[in-house]
Amino acid sequence: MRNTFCLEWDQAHGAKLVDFHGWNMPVSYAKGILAEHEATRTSAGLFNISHMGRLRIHGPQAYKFSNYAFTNDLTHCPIGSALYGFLLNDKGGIIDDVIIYKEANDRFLWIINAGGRETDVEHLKRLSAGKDLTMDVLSDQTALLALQGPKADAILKRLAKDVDLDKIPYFGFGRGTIQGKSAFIMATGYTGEDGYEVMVDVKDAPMIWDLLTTQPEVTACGLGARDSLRLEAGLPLHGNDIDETTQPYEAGLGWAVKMDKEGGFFGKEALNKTPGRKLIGLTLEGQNIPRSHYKVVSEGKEAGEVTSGVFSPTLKKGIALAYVKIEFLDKPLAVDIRGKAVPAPKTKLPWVRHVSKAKQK
Amino acid sequence: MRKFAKTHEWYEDIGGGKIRIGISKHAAHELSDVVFVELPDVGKKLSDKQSLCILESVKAVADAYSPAGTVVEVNTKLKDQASLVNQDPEGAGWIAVVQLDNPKALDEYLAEADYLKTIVAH
Repeated sequence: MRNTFCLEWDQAHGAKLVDFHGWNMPVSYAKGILAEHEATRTSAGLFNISHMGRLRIHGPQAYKFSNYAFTNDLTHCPIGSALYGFLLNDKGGIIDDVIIYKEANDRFLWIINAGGRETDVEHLKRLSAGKDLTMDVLSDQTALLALQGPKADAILKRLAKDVDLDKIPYFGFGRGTIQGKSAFIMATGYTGEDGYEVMVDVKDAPMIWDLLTTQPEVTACGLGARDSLRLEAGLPLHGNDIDETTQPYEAGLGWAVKMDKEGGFFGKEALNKTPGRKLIGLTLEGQNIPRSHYKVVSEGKEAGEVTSGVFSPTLKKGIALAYVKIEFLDKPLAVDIRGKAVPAPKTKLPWVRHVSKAKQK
Repeated sequence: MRKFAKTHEWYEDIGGGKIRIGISKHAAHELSDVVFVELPDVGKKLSDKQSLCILESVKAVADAYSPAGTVVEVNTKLKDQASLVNQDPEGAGWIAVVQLDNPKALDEYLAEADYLKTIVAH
């Protein structure tokens, strides 16, 4: 298993470590998932997400290639802004969901999932063979930290120099310094809160991690809280809700696919815009928690399957993302929990999102 | 006298052939953040090593098992305060009292020191 820069700190702070896509990562620290979740919703949570991959594609054909490999459209994305979208295979399946940060017209930073470190890079290399561009994999020489929550902005304003955070809108980014060390500061996240993701040199990461964790408003959080936060925010997890066998439209993510963009994109021809099932949100009644792979039922018939489920600490209820066959979308839905059909009304996503207007584009 | 099961329950003999049941500190820590406890109905008959109840934590679901008997009391506080299982698993976070079919049923279970050894070995 691989370790991030943070292992010693994790071990010293009561981390429960698990194997996440080959990475030795904390599910939670001593306070537990609920406390970490709550801290992120009300103050600030700090997450080490260095297991995720980072690469930079630059050079004369970097734009054209990036826009072809990616489903969203970088054409109208201003420099200093980012877009969410997908890498597709030739069947239209989602190899990965990624965010691309446009640093210049010929320079793009990609943030990819931990599980995509090998598969994405292989796919991109195959697709870019013979193109005039350079792909630098930065995953091992950098670290990625996420500071999320209503107090994240004030904390980072106190610590980050050489940057005006007020000029960085939601999904924007800029460069600054923290304790004199270069920091790539992105106003993105995976919690449904305002906040930042900060990429730093891996050598500087322990110092910056220590600095952030010792801020009074900050609680260090593990992947457990990251999962309950992203699920409340209605955000899909690659490997659970989307994968190589699912397509963007059935996942309700067609907004990040630009079918009409110039030059098209890889996997476009295989996309089905009228899928037979849809990824939707379900909110369970009573004291019941849906889990991944539980069946969705409707009046005794099998209607679909849960892909992510959790106890929502904010709603104090079980919530799920589930694929449900189109013909059942307007029918009463339930989740089969140990043989009991627990009513689970369809719920508009997200359950919780606190991204403030001021930070929105 | 308290006995422990390898499946991480504690059974306390409270006299009259009755035992109080809860989960061990170790189990509560491993499960962490218990949010719902699906309590059995009083009067429910349990066959040996059958699930007494289901504990739902944020990340996982787990059963607690009991020797054969009849549920005579449940800790109703857990309905609204499942977190007691984490805060005080071997005290206020108890789950139920069971009238044993066989008053000697606890003989096969482990003394605390022996139970703790199984965790270390694990």
